[in-house]
Amino acid sequence: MKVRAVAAQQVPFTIDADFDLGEAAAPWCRAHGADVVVRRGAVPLSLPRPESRGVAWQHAAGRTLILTPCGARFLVKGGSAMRYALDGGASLADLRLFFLGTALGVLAAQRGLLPLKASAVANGEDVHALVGMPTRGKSASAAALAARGYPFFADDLLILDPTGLDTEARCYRCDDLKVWPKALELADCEKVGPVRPTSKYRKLYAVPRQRAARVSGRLRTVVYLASFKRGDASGDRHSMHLERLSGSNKVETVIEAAIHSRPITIAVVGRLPLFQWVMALSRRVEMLRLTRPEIPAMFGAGVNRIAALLSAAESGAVQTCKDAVP
Amino acid sequence: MKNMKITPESRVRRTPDNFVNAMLDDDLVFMDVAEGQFYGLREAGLRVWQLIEEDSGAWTQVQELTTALCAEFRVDEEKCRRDIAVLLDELQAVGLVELS
Amino acid sequence: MTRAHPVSGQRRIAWLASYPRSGNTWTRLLLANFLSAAAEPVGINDLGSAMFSALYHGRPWFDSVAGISSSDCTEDEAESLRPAVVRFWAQETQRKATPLFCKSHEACRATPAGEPLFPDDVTVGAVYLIRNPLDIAVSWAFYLGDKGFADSVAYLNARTSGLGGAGNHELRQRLFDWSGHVESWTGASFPVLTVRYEDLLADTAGWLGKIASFLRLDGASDRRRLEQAVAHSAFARLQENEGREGFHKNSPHSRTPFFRSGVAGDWGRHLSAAQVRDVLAAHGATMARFGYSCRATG
Repeated sequence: MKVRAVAAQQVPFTIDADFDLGEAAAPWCRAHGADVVVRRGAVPLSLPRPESRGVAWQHAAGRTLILTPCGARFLVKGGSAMRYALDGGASLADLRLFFLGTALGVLAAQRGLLPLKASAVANGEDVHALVGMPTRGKSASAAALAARGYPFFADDLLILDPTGLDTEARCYRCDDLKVWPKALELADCEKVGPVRPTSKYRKLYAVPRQRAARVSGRLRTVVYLASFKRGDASGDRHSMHLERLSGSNKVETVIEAAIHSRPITIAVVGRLPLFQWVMALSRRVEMLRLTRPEIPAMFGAGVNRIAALLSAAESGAVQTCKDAVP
Repeated sequence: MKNMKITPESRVRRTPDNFVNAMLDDDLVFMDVAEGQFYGLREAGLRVWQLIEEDSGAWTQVQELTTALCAEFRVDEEKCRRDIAVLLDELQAVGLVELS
Repeated sequence: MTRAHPVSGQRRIAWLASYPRSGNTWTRLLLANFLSAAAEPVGINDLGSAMFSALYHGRPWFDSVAGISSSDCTEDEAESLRPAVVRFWAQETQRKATPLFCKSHEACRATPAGEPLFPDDVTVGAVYLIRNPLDIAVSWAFYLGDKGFADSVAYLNARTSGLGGAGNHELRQRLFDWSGHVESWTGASFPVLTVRYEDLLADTAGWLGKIASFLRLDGASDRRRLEQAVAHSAFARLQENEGREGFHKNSPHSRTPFFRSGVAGDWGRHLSAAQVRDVLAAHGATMARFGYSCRATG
């Protein structure tokens, strides 16, 4: 499904890239006159005098170097240009994966936007994000929600505009759904093909039942998906716990789970602006924590619960309780 | 870890220079600008912070905090004293207050 | 007695290593209570505090230190970064006098490229817990729920056994078989204190003192402090704690409390003669080395 009428769905910046960014990113692409130019070229292995660094990245004077272990390297410059190199057998598919996660997030941060690590679904203009620790089922839950009337919006990277947070949390989508093979059936989506060409990486691109038509929306809800905290030995393997977050719990949730490429984003954005953005975001959106068992048999019940609470959140009535699901 | 024993005669003052803070819902959220750690104060803990002199040059006696808190919350004075001591110890450990 | 290196420069990590179901969580609880020396016991769910927070095999920790998502990488790629990640963490973590404790169930091994996953230059030493593999087989079966003892014996005996990996919330951890695991840690190049779980059970305060002394911790010979730590971590309290707080470490498939029973020598009631023979055949030599009986009857 191609995205139409791009002029009516503005993106915060446009990209002229010399490789295919995938279907979800199409609204961002321009052949000429784009805000950001992305080209293959020479990328150094390190920066001369990094102000800050981590294992897979360095940052200095508005330039960020990203070094992925598959051999793809990115140099993101001043929010307006990006060069990439592919070494050690890294493929275009590898490039696309790391571009639409880490590199694009860093580019967004350099341009004054906040890259969130989240899956998301939409309902008209409203966007609901799913956040949590890795492998807690964010993507699969988003796909399953798409089969329950909430079109798929984002898989891993949700770009937030922090400038308008006093009135709304405008966010943008750019990536396609990726799930593990075992989640295809549970998440009711159709396999497209492998994300990376190696058999050692088994995630698949997949098509959800419904995809959002718009490229942007208003972030309304953030649901933190947690795994089961075991109680007593009898019935708790089937129960779920829902909690409405407030105050410092919201901040903790966003910082711990929802900032994409967190150490790099902190280096690029700065701690103080990030604090202000996180506080403003926390005031703007509803945040909930849903804890449910990790076992496949409970996946559907968990998604139904999310759908119910999104619907309640939209109508302004969220009930929180520990409930046993039959 | 306890650095010094906190008595009613101990004094405390704010040292918020390395922090930014803002209210969010009912919590006062702090961030250590250098380290990036977040902390939150709410309810009685927030009240203790508010009762400590805002002017960071000025000292407040721990006994004053205990007296005020006991008046505002229905709590046994001994427990209140102990809880305040634990809180102040934690606040000092992260650098939000200084004790003498 | 061997002692760990003192904490200095980048050398700051104390590994708390063991094959699964060998008392690792209990030992961390003992250490946490010993170090805190507070009136209130440290609860099971407090083991996620800053002191013990490094989960070397955890994706959140890897992602937050590396800056990229381990979930975008193959297991080999993520593993190739782990030595750099642990070095970076050791270097950057706030200066402390006590070691940074880091739990692991992995064999003490290297990446496919030959880089040690437990680098000597960041290590003060390791406390390695060892337990009778017959008891491990029983405990493992209960932890995994419905699997049965045949599966846990096969797991103990297989060179390729592991934890975590693609799609799992933990990174891939290779265990080797039980004997291989033991040999990898007891033969490591840095100081290692090997502690038999059965000895720890029989004289907890004494062995906690030896562990504290090995790690150069203050108060290692303070009997009262050791005994308080033991009391706070006592099994009954563990099970009570677990029931009240809900211990999150338990496998979602398990129907039994995490700390099922502290008793050693339980295996005779559960394993078949054939299962016992399999374990002895695979691990008899290592068992004998560490004082475990190789008799086929309990």
